[in-house]
Amino acid sequence: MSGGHRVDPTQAAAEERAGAWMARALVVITVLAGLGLVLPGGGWLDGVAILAVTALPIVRVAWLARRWWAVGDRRYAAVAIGLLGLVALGPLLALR
Amino acid sequence: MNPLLLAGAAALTSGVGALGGLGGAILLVPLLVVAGIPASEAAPLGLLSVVAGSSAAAHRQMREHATNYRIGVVTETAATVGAIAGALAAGVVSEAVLTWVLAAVAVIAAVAGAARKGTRWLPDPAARGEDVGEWVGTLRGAYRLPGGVVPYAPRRVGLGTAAIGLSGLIAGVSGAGGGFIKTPATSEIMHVPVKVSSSTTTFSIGVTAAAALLVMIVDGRLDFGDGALVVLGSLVGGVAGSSVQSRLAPPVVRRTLSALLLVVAAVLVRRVL
Repeated sequence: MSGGHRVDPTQAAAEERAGAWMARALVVITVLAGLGLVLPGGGWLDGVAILAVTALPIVRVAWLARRWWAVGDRRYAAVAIGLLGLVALGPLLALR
Repeated sequence: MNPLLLAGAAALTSGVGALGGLGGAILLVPLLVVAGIPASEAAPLGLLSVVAGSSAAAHRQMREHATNYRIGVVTETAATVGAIAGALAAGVVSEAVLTWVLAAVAVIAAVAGAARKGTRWLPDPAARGEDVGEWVGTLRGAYRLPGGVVPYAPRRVGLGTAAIGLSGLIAGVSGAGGGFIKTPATSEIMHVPVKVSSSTTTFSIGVTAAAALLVMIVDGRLDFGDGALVVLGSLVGGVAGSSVQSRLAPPVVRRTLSALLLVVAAVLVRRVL
């Protein structure tokens, strides 16, 4: 197909690796949340599970920023980095 | 609320949310409020459900290569600003007014999704398997259907991003994920194929919800015990919903989405009356 577009040839494999990594992380989070509910005094495990699951989407954006920077797509990498900055701004504003 | 019921409600709503790219919170938050949980406590649980459901769907979606992350990240900047503003301003907006707005938007989105016939972007015989995916440096891309490879190019990105910013604001104030606005805004305003819109929204609502949830955690509004139950239920429901979503054709996804939006509108109206 013509049109001068470019597909990152490593994207598909990288996505599958990242997907497998996320699946493993979710298993760990599920175990942590489950243990936190059943173990006496395990409430801190619930906290760890909640913070970890909240961090996952943010880690995905960081991963995208790194990948796009690496393939020379600096414009969209910069947008992703800006998005990470916005996400960080929320809790800082809430602390004030 | 009974712990098993809470986890079950999170599983059910996350599954349905992943099916249509809605996010489960738009269903979970009203259910929790009807069950007697105060709206201020239901909101962070709803956001947690969205975050977990979004991540649960990620593994399957990353194998399908239907997500356009560049569209997701660009539009998410507006959604995140809206979500943070909404989370910080929560309590200022009257809940009754917000609920009517939510119901109206859900109905409009349902009608817009159901009214359009056929598939906007058709397979291009010149497109090949290696064209599938996002195209570097642009918001364009291609995805695979049984009939071939379908290239697409988003339109009216500014208007779509503004609508998605509004979805973030609603997510931040109410705890609903905002996917019920994001998916139709991406498909109907920006003309992105429904399957790509749905997949991209499932990714981006996780970021929106995480941004608002971090604000609520810092504010001390999340009960971690209830939160753990919602995480468990949502992870199971999200995996199940995304596995069904991948087997559905775009018109089926669109009709299902419209029907779900009408149900959501009815639940919201009932909540405010």
